[in-house]
Amino acid sequence: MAGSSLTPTPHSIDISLTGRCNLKCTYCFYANEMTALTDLPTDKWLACFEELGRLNTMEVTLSGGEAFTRRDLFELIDGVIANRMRYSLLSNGTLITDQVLARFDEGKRRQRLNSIQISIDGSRAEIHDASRPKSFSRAVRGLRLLKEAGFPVTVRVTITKHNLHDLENIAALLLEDIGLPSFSTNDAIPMGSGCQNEAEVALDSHEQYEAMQIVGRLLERYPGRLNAQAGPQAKIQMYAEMEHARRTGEKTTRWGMGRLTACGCTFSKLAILHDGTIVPCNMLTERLGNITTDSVHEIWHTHPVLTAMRQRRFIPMQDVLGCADCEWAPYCNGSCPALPYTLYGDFNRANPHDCYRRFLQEVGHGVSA
Amino acid sequence: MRYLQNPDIVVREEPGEVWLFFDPDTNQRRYSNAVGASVWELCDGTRDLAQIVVEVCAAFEGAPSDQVGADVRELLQNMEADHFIVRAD
Ligand code: SF4
Repeated sequence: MAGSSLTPTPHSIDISLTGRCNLKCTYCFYANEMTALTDLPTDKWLACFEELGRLNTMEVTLSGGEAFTRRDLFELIDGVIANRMRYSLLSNGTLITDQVLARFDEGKRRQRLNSIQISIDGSRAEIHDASRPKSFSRAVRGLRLLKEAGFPVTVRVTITKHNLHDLENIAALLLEDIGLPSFSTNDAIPMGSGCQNEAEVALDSHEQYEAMQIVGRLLERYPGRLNAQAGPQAKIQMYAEMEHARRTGEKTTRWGMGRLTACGCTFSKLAILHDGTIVPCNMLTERLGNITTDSVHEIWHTHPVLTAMRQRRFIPMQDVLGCADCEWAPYCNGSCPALPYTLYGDFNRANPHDCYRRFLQEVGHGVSA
Repeated sequence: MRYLQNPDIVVREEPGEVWLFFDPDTNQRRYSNAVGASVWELCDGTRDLAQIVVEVCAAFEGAPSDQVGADVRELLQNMEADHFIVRAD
């Protein structure tokens, strides 16, 4: 076992049920896999859910592609439920209608639903559609239907060059007009189609800083109603904690500063691509096996790649390529390994998109809380 | 009265000799120790409180039976309140 916090089996699994999607978003991190792999049929997924049930996995997140393009989606959801799991759905929202929502009323489909997340990237069609083509009105209609029907609906806004200056309007649409309790943000990263379209969609360091300032203002206006695991809002917190630690010597306990501790997912999670390929994360697609031929339990405990990923937390930042001479190394954790894996084929590198030294060099000043 | 596990409950042994009880219908999660896990195992519909206490005492040698009796009674009450177990009769 790579660390004492390793759970005996995965708590949760992120599952891409299909490579089909009715949209073609400019920053889709999954675009390459969508075209390269084929969908597993229903019976293989149902067998997979049985295995996860035997492993006492507690929840799955179902996405795609677009999960609602699968005709058997509700049969698959029933398979999740029959195996004592809860589930969440990630969707572009455009295929959600009253008829679709009515199908959640059967059995425990609604009771076991943790959340359904819709992506909204603009307050109006011209902005949303710049990254999510021809979909604004259908996405907002789906979102409103879910909200009005009392579903546990959440929204993710991916911040890009297109919507940076629309964030305040997006917040007003989501929090005031539609009346969501909160929404989350991240930003486009150069993976999948985001790689080909990086110059057009991804924020540079100056835009990152501007996004941080806008999000900061929004948090003053809507306290506690914006959240983020990645992107500008998460970086405000991370960079401010690095500054604080360097100034005072008090290191946060939220992550292990000074070592490659991000992220901890491999201690409690796995992901499965739509052809059954088992991977550490649906953004870090190093092949570990396939659910049609390999045991999830065995992979979880013995696969050398997972073991190596769990060992990252013992690597000092000073030993990481490109970080040896960095004065921030004692306070940095290298951030998400998916991007360095995609760029360099090496997850034991720091994520250049989140590098504070680079941010300081490019922006010219730091970040405070 | 005999006790029976709710078949929908997931019980996971977690790092640090902690057992996690998870009800997928309610998303309720409760943590327990080895005694809680053995009490749960013994709720198979054939045993009542007294029988469960005897077996837990045997499994945890040296534990005072009065104390075990009180603890098991409380555990069963809590598990029943959480719908982790039901009465078999
Ligand atoms: S170079 Fe960047 S990623 Fe590396 S330690 Fe410094 S701030 Fe962190």
